[in-house]
Amino acid sequence: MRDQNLQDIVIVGGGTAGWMTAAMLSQVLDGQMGRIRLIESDQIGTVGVGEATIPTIQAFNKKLGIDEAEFMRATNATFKLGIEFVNWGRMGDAYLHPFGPYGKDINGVAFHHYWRRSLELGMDTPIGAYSLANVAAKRDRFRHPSSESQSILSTYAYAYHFDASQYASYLRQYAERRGVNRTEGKIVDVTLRPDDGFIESVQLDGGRKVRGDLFIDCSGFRGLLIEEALETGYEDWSHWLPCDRAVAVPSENVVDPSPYTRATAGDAGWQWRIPLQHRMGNGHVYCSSHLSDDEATATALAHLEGDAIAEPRVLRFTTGQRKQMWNRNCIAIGLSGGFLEPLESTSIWLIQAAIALLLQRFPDRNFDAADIEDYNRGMRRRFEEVRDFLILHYKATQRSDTDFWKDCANMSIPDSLQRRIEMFGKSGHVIFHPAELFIETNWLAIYLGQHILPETCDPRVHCAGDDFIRQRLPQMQAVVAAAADEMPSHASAIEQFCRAKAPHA
Amino acid sequence: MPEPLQSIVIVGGDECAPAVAACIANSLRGTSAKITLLDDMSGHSGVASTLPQSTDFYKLLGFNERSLVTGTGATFKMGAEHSGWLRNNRRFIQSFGEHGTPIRLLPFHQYVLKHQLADDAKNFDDYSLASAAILKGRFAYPSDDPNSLLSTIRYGLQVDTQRFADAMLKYAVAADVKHIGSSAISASVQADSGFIAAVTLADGTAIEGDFYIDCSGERALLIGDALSVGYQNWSAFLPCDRRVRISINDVQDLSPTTRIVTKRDGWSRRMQLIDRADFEFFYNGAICSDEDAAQQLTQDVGTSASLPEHRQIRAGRRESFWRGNCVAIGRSAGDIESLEVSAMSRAHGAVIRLMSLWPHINCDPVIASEYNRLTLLDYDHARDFVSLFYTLSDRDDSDFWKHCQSLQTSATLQYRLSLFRSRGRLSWDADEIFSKDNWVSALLGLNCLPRACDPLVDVADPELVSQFMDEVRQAVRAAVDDMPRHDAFLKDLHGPAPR
Ligand SMILES: Cc1cc2nc3c(=O)[nH]c(=O)nc-3n(C[C@H](O)[C@H](O)[C@H](O)COP(=O)(O)OP(=O)(O)OC[C@H]3O[C@@H](n4cnc5c(N)ncnc54)[C@H](O)[C@@H]3O)c2cc1C
Repeated sequence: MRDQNLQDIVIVGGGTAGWMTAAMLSQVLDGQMGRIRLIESDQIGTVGVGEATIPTIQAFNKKLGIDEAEFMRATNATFKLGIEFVNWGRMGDAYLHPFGPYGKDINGVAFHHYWRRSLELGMDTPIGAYSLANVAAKRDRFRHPSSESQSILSTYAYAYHFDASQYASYLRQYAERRGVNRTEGKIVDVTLRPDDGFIESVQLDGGRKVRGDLFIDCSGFRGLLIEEALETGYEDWSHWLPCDRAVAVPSENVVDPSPYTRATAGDAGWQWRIPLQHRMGNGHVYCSSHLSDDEATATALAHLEGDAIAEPRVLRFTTGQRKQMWNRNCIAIGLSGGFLEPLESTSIWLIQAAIALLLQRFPDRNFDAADIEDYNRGMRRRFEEVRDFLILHYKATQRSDTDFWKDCANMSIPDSLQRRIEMFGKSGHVIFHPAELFIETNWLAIYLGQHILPETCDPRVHCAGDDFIRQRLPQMQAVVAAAADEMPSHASAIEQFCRAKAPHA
Repeated sequence: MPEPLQSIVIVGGDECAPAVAACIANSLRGTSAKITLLDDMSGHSGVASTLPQSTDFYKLLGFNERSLVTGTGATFKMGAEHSGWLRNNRRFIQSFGEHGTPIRLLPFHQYVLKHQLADDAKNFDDYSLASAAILKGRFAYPSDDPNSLLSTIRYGLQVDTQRFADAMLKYAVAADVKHIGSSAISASVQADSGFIAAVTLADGTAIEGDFYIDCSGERALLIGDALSVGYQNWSAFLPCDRRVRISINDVQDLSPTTRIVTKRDGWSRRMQLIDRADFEFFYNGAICSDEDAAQQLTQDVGTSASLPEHRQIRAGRRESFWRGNCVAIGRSAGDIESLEVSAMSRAHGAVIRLMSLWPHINCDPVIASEYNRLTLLDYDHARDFVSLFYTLSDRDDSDFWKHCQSLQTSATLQYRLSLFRSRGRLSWDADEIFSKDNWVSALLGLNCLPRACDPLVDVADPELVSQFMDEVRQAVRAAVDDMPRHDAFLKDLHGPAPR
């Protein structure tokens, strides 16, 4: 079988997707299976955004054996305990989607049912007060979680905000050290094999041809191979997620970076605020049929806290996914595979998931149809899950101050999401699958943060009795508050652990 | 806010009914809900085995598993031994344990496959402590220490269903379940809501409740008779529709396993309890008569057997399991020949699921539909798992086996098979009842070899891999010798004067 093994793997594109793929393949293949080549064009450049992550990134870095402090210094990274959503359910709202659960199960019944009952008993503490990640984030505090499962400090996870270009260069060094061959050049043509339509080679500006057995398309939105060459087709989801543009503009930091991302809903979209060590990442995601580029840019600039440090840049996209992520001998990873707006910082996770699944369905030159089908099925499932989670943010709104929000509140949504919302509204039960990215807390954060309050709680909360609830909940809240207060500030945690050497690198 | 359920009626008959009552009572302890169990406690005699998942159920009940074992004469089970599914009469073990550990993130079986494909017959069973324990008649509780090989084993139980039901009843009654020792004979339905209104006992007494559990067994008094929920027939996938059972007073062979052997007209299994052994034979009534079946079974067993007891198997499941204010659990919900797909554990899982979705008095259909969606997957997975044996068997030496050759394979199983046949990869979802290792040991045991193994196995140095595999095998051999004998373990558990 060995003679069927891949000999040449060609990665097209050197953005976050390309270098993450190159780094992981170089680590796992360990020089034992073919050559890995990455082609990127200085002329074209990368999308250059993509700065907020979710906790799963840690598993990726860990697999690569990356030293956390070194990586954080190299990418001007900060810690992230969640995402704050402002003005989503109603104008004036603010809630946090924390990276850690609310309270603790009692007698096998999830905490939020007791919390739901507490409202009927006249208690009014918001659910966030029972999540350490939530409370610590809002108090600008951070420390590394504990691995001691009995400790309250084990009840949260964290992610990073980092400079995407610096992350890509960091991974580039990593990959090049492990033998990945980087080629600079612009691809101008793609040759398909006449018999089966597989990609045979790509041709660089200047005439050089690079052949390969497997091509990984990390060329960004355009999908140089998967679409321009293979015409795979794209499934458009903009009827559910109508935003189609973004304007990005970084600014000077004027306050210490907070340990969470903020997403503030506007008239026809939302603005992100991602605090890094050396600057603030800002941007405005909007729907072009409701807002012009100029209006959107003006809004983005008006909300900057410090001076802009680059010209605003407008990006266009269509939310959706490639009909097949893996077509013949080409796999689309990153923006070439599909796009879901960065509301929950999931794009880098989707890159990570694609790489992991590729390693579980790794081909040889036979390219078995069953493996390809299973890969495509797996990636579709992941994209659809994220899609549904994002739609929830738009659907669960009571805003009616603009046509955009009225349309969102009235849109029809996928059945899978409809079922989840109804179930929660009726019973407080959160539907999720154990293999999914978003589990109980994640769905709860959005439901409760955007006013989907269950009609009732699990009847089993009555086993404990109301007095128990009156006593226990304030105690739990106090424990969380005390633990948060004992943490160092986020700024000092960074100072101690991972202050970047040249802040303006 | 809708009102909580106040009165729950469990219509018994099926052997799972007392366990269902016990579990509901325990979960609602402290509330004002009244629970009534209608069961004459007859007809629960038999044997059953459980899957490792049932441990969760005992935990939920606050049940001490040790006293359950000693109180009911149960034995431990670490898996099953199969023989005769293939013409070459190959034997294999389907253990509840893990096999080896992943090497460079790749599942261990890929490295076994690599050798098998190169005609170097490495045996998957050699790398599982649970499999070794079955062969050597050993048993120990799993360890929490991930560095110990004992952390790779899991176990279920083999139980006497009557005694198990009695123990559950005792527990239920202690948890304030009202037990009425007669069975329901009919049920009435409210015209407007389609909810069950009441059930009637043989003496004419009507029992009312606001929520009903149909554990009436194959009679399906509520879900079938009263509510007319359809039944999906699976005889196109699964061949057996009859089962015969006999018991012998044999305590010779106390290995922690169920033995499954195919025969001319079906397959049989032997389950050992502390004081007797039960033999069951599964067959197709159109091909083999009851007398013939009993004879094929007693042949192996010898004399002093009990009278053969026959029952029907209606292969299939309900179209839905929860309708209105009624949930079906047990054989009223579905029936699958017991080829290692424990009906008892399925019932345990069903009550746990029901409790996690416990409704209010309005029994919101959204909740019912979620329950139905999940339960349906359970049944379909179990069907596919049994069907795998018939799909992969190459026997065609009798009318029964010829019939098996003509059975269908579901689309979901076909998908799984085609992925495995490509490169030995498993399509597997985190919420399935059977573990990945269960699937892989069945696939390999039934000689389903892929075209090639995962290409990434070539990344690791083959010398080092071989060395590592040898080490695992030797560690298994050494560890199994440190485990107590299963019979001695049980004797210890029972104390100096057993029962
Ligand atoms: C507005 C916005 C905000 C985002 N925010 C987040 C976030 O907060 N969190 C998150 O996880 N993700 C976020 N993302 C997504 C994230 O930016 C991307 O997933 C990530 O950057 C990966 O991009 P990529 O590598 O696929 O493509 P790109 O960065 O576009 O890289 C494309 C590469 O292909 C090369 N290339 C293209 N054409 C050719 C050619 N002809 N010849 C040679 N080379 C070529 C280019 O040189 C470049 O190296 C955001 C995206 C957008 C649009």
